[in-house]
Amino acid sequence: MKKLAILFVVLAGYSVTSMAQVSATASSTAAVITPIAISKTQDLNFGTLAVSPTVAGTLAISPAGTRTPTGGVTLPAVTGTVTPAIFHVTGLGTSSFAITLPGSITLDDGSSHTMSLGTFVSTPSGTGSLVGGALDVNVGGTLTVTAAQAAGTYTNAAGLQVTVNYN
Amino acid sequence: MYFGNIISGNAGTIQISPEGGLPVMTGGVSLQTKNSVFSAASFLINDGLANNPTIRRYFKGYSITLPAEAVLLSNGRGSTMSVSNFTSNASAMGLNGFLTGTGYLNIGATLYVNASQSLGQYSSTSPFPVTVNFY
Repeated sequence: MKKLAILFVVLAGYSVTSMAQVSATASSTAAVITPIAISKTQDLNFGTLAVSPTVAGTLAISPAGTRTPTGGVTLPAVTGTVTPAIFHVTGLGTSSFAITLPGSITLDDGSSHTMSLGTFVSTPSGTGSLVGGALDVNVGGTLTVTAAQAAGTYTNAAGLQVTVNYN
Repeated sequence: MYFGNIISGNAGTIQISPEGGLPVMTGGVSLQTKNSVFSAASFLINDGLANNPTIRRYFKGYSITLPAEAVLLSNGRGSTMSVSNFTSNASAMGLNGFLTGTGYLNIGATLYVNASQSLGQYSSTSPFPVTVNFY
């Protein structure tokens, strides 16, 4: 009992302010990274194709640049310029990103004749991972050709839009 | 307290909640979700403190003091971002009155990101203090 009384006295005399506070510290961090960016390095070119007067068809270009005709479409000896579209993607290190391709777009020859271009495919497909902060994305697609498609040079200046986002 | 990987570009804020969950962004600020680590700061309030019979006998309750001034984060190359509006989960933990048992006191805050924020790893120039006051 005596002991307790002494303890009580000691504690009552204890500086309340030094007993009444405890502190700790923490630090705060954040990283700011370079935004992802995309630029075109090569256009999509289907080259020269021959059409049938009675049979419609398609012409596909793979992301690797290989042409595959179907139906009434044939490939003449003079190939013309054949290239898949190539986009250069830059960003942080080995970050992964999602690739969004367009639906379908329309090419026209300047004289009201059109062809539809769609079923876009890419390598890599869907998502990619940067290597050393960069990666090329190749894009191919399928051209829809009607029977007796009018001869001419069909183009689309800016419809093939590819979007990338960190994911 | 971790604010994650911020993609440089838009100015805005990132708010970390002491209750947990995803951070809230304003102003078009975006985070790289895959690699980002974001969390509130966490302090362990242990038995030794809360259940100390002396403290329970002589003190009625306590309050938490959070930093009143902004904390500066620096990338070591002259660029900074500031952190302020500190909040805690003290009331959510039912700790507005007397401390009971052991628990984690979580501290959240708001980070202010500038437009075209310079790249780099940002950390607090000095650690921020959190004080528990007994009364």
